[in-house]
Amino acid sequence: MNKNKNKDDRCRNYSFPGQHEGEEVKLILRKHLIVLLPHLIYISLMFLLPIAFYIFFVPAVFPAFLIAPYERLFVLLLLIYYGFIWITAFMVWVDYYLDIWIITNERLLDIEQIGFFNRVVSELDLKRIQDITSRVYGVLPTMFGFGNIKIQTAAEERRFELKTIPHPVTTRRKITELYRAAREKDRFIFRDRDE
Amino acid sequence: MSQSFIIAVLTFLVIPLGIFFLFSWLIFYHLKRYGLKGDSTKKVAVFFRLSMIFISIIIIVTFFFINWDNIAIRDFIERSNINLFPTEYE
Repeated sequence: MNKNKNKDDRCRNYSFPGQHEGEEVKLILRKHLIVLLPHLIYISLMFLLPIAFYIFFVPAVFPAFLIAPYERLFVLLLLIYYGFIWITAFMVWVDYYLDIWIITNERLLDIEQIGFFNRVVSELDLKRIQDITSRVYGVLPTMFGFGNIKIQTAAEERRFELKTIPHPVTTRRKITELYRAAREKDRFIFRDRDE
Repeated sequence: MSQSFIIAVLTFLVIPLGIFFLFSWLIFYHLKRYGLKGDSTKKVAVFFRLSMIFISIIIIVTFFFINWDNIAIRDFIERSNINLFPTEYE
């Protein structure tokens, strides 16, 4: 409970470009860290590759790399290689980090970063939500506690899908609470106008 | 300045460090522009930039520790099939 309260307080400090006046960030969602696992395995393998190359391949095929001037050349090549690996790792991380769902007291923003030069931002008014479904399907999602949330909006508008997010059930409940609060606020505004 | 050295500067310094600079700037720019304000994005962006500068410095230092005149890069390129140094045929 206390942990959730701290998380709420932390979210309140966040802001994003295009935020409305009086709009409060209630929830920040990113994909579950498990989506990074294949990239992590790939990058680890790429990281270990030169070491394996040095142990098994160099003595047999390029013995010159073990002798004086070429030894340093090998180190230089290794450093350049690791520089590229480091950049690749950060590119993956940026792609993960900037893929985000921001839920405020007014709307839901779905920001998708695809590579460096493709960014899709969609938004949905919380009051227009008609149906929210959370789904945890499969062994890994059940074990690690991640899943999808589908949000159906009014009329023929597109369906929002929050994929591989952690704790989908809790998040669905929270979105429902925010939806109710938004509706309630709206009703009060209309009542005030009528009076 | 030997030819080996010039080739080495181009191959091992200018091109890789140019790519490093471009990508580190791109990543830094994206984090700074699109990252949420109030979380640790800025710290991560600065950490990444510094790490790239650190790697680049180590590369430059290693580069100048190599005696390029003793390394037969030119011979290697000539012996391979790249037509960088066209030979005149009589």
